[in-house]
Amino acid sequence: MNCQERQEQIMLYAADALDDVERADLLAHLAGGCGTCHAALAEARETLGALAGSLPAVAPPPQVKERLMARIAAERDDAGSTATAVAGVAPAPRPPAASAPTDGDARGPAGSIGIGRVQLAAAAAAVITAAGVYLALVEPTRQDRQAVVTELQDREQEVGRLRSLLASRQLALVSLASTADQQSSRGRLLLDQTSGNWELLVFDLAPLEGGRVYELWLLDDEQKPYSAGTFQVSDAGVGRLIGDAVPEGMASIALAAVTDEPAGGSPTGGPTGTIRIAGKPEVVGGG
Amino acid sequence: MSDHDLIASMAGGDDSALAELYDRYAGRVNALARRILGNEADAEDLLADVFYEFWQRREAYDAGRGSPLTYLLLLTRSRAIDRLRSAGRRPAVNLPDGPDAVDEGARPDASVLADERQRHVQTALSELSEDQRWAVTANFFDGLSHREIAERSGKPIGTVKTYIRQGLSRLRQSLHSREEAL
Repeated sequence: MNCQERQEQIMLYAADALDDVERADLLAHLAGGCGTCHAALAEARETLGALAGSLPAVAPPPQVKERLMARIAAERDDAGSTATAVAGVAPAPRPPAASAPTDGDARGPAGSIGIGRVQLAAAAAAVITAAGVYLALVEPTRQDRQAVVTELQDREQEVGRLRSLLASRQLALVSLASTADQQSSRGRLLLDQTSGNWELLVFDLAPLEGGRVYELWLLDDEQKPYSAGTFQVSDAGVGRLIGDAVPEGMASIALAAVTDEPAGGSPTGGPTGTIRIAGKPEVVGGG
Repeated sequence: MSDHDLIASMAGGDDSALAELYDRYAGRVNALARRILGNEADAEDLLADVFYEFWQRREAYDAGRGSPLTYLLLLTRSRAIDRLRSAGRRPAVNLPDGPDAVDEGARPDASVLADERQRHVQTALSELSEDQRWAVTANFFDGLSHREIAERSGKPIGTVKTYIRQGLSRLRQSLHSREEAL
């Protein structure tokens, strides 16, 4: 698709009328810095801004402003506050941790895609229960005792982390869908906007060869891509990536996407490989 | 003081600059929030959140991306639709712009141009075909996806997308030609 053809997409993108696949394709193009398309996007936004501003002004009660200014004053007094509206200002980033879970993981969260937070928590709990039963009762003699304990502790930490995310009052969820038709690849990114903790779980992504890795990208409102880390997947196509802060300097998240990249991640600081799954965030936690 | 001067002050931590921008634009932001959310209390809650987010992101604001009003309005629309989708609801009714509407005669001169632009947009909207106008309005103000619009109208998704794209393009052209004529 050339830039002329993208002009039609850009107006639909600005109006939030593209599906995830189309949006990911356009954002990948914009992330490349195309001046023509950025100018078209700015013009589309001005048109939509004019449409949005076409309603007669309605004066709010003065209490709204009073509450707003009081909130800002309180924030000044609370230097440690990091709460944000969508992804927001985050604490200093730390390296994310990646893992390619075993098939046990695939039987847990993999079956939970598309279900609600309570069911997901229950499924997560089932992972540790199943692991415990299997490791402690079925084949106790084949496992080193310490290894069993370590495994269970690791699983407990994973479940605890997931439970903590799900309990967040400022939970943002990104459902990542395949960018190719008839592909079952999918993922879920959970982000606690208050703490900055996040976790990505992916399923049915093909294992990569030749040292290539998957890389998670978060794109902000300006279509600037931020790498959130690389990961690999198990033979079952399951992968996991966790972090405790959004990338440094990122103020919002408009899109999350996973690309396949060379060993060590993208050499350019931006996506270079094919976008495999992508999705837009939605806020599911109450404020 | 211009909007951009105020934003520069706000970026430096001057919350009185935010208060001034609020005074200028809260009415329009509130009107849009009410139109989308269909609820006065929810709209006021969103209004405060939008300006709070604007304050939080003041250092990242990019003047090249558009005017502060455009930025605020599009942020409001995005957050309002997020709330609708999060709550799994659509606005049942849209409040009339009745007794709370700002008195035209009480507005400062600076908003006269904006009022003129409002009329241009309304005129441009009236010049769209009925299908285009409905699709644009349902998408933009009611937060319906093209798929939802297709389901409600019984028209193919591709046709709905065409309506939205053509409607917005015509709107853009109308605004261009009218502003050039000023």
